Amino acid sequence: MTTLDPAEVFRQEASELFEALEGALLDLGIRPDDKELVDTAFRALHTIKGSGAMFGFDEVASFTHEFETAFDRVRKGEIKPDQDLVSVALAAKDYIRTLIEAPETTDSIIGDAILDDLRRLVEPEERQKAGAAPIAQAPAAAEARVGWQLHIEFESDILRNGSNPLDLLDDLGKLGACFVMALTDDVPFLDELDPEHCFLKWDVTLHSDCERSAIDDVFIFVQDEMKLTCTPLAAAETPLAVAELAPPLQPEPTVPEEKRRVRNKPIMSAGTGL
Amino acid sequence: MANILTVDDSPSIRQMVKVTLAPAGHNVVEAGDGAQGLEKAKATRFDLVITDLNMPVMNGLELIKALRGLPALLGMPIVFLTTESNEAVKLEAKKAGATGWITKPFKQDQLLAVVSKLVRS
Repeated sequence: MTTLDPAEVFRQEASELFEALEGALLDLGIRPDDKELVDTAFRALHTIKGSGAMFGFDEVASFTHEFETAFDRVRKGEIKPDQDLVSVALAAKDYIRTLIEAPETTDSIIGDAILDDLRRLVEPEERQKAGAAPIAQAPAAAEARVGWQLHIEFESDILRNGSNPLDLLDDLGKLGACFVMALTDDVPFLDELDPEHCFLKWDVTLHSDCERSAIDDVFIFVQDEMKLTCTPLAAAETPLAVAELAPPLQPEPTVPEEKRRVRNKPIMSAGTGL
Repeated sequence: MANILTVDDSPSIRQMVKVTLAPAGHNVVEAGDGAQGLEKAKATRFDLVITDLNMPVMNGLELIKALRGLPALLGMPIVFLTTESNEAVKLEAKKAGATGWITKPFKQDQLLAVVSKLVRS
């Protein structure tokens, strides 16, 4: 197995990417409508940005992000690459190259000036929008938290795309003691059962002082393919959680009692009475 | 432990994936674009595919759709790498059948965390 340093591999790769980028930019000056050239330039920028930060070239990544943002507007056809834009883009490309190959010889004043020029050309009317939109945060409750009551329903084809609901329940268990009850009401009889579909739903009582965001992190990859309700447990509710979770089952003529399966998670915290 | 395919036109990203996952005991196989990735996935059973989206020849979205079109590979986790914070891109890849994503730039422990989330021994 090769043991090459990824940063060194990146330097070599970047050198080839700069050749491709320069060629595409020069040709764009002649053929500004050639979408293929725009795509080539964009792909080179994209890789330089994506790889740069991973291998410690933070300035390369942040500068290239601005550069790429400008080109994204060209790619979408919002802006035509005229000679001015090509010239500034070439200067930006040289600056990034120096940041990688001889960072001690660069000065951020040069980079800032190039970015100012670039922004002026691509978004003259939007300078005031420099601030990024704030990321929405779930409101955090101020009072001490003892846990969460969750109801979980996945879309039926969740299994097809490589997600495993049981793994996700295990991950919930890492946040605190869980009482997990599988709801089997929708499970059909065997002759109608498609084994690649998920028919189960779950109610979970999670005893943890974790934030809501920690729960969302568990389901981050499937949040658009599920219904998740999360209700904070009040302190007084905690000892009763089991009783509330597992009320006497109503008679269900279509689902025999033995088909119901209660999945008890290991209790990891003391004093819950579970 | 797990058989993992990394599909990326960037050799440095592939190398990063390799030097991160190999010491954790995983066997990492490389492919330089979607078409190569598809061929390798047809020939060998992988426990996880990690693919870039923006690639020449066959891009990541096309690869994900092609992999999901193979009945034998249903349920195989597929993670895509993206530098986009754009939700629409994530949604499109998820609709194509991806299991999850890793946002670039990522640190080695972030990659390990996602792999351990989707590959259980």
